[in-house]
Amino acid sequence: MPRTGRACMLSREGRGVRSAIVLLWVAGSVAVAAPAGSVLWDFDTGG
Amino acid sequence: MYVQPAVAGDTVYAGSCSGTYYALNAQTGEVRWSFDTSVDGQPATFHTNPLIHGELVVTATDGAADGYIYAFDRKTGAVRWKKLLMHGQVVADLVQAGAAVFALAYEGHLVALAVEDGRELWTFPPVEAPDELGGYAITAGEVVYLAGRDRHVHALRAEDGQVLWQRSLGASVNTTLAMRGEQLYVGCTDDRLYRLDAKSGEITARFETEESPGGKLVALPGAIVYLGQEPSTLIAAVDPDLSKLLWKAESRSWTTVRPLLWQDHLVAGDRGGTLVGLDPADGTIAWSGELGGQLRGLGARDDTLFVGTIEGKLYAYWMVAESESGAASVNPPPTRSSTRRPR
Repeated sequence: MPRTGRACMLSREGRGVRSAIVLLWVAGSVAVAAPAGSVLWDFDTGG
Repeated sequence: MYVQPAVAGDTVYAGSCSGTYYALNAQTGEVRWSFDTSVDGQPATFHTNPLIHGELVVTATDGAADGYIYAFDRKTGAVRWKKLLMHGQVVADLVQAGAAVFALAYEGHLVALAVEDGRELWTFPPVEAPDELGGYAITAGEVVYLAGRDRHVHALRAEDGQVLWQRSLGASVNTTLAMRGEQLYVGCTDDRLYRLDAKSGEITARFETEESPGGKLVALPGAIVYLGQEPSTLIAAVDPDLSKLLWKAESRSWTTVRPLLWQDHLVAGDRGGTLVGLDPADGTIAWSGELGGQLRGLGARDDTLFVGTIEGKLYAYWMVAESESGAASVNPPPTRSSTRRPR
């Protein structure tokens, strides 16, 4: 498990590649399934 | 938010990376109580999954100079007991055997506490030892298994910490431990999965992985599922004998480091906010949903998933059950609501 706080920081990296990931997803080998649910509520924990 | 939301009764419990622990109404998202770690010094963070024990929710912190283990009253949030770990940062999930809870500090030692009052029972290795364990722990019966950066798996008697066996793996452990029958599974930084006999510690199988394994191993009846080390594009399943790859799901940047087996599907989420349910038999996507944010922690109750994001959102995601004819067959969800944390 990552060291203190590193888990958060690591996951903030790479936002710039999101579009590339989406393209990979579209061109990838797995199919997109239909949405299966809906959001009941969301809560902001602040971080 | 990193942790896996824990659900007990109609309350969902989750700690944030901003240092507050929350108990929320699972139906509405309303705050039942919260605890701000800054009352004990620097604001801490929560990365460990909690334990629910009777009327207690037990969790631990890191991020500040010292870590605490807290036992909150589930209903009121009152601190029933807390244990200061000097220079101890707990990021591995808490585990329990009988009346003892075990916390593995990232730098330090495994500490066993009485779950009812936080009394220290034993530590491993002794606190004066220079070794740094880190890593992960699980329990099975009366045995605690732990594995970490010291490149060993240790089997300890839960009652008193006596060493039952120790096995060198030759590489640092990089996944949680998983148990299936009498076999232990773990992934290491040498790009291998290992299977060990839980009674003797003997290594009984190895498997070379496509990516360095990381996160949580999931033991299914017919497969061991692993993720690539984050940032990962791979979720893969191998057979329990570690002899062959069964399937892999790629093309996503998976960010849920603890995939969740729920309603016959392996739930995972990605950096783009998409939640998917994988068929554990072949890795195909059975369903998907869009939430937003970088999905991280996964918890569940009945037909609702609770999904935390790195940005700090916690979602309650209601799953539409389908009848045999394919039509929605359960009660409709209540109106969507959005809430802010109290200031």
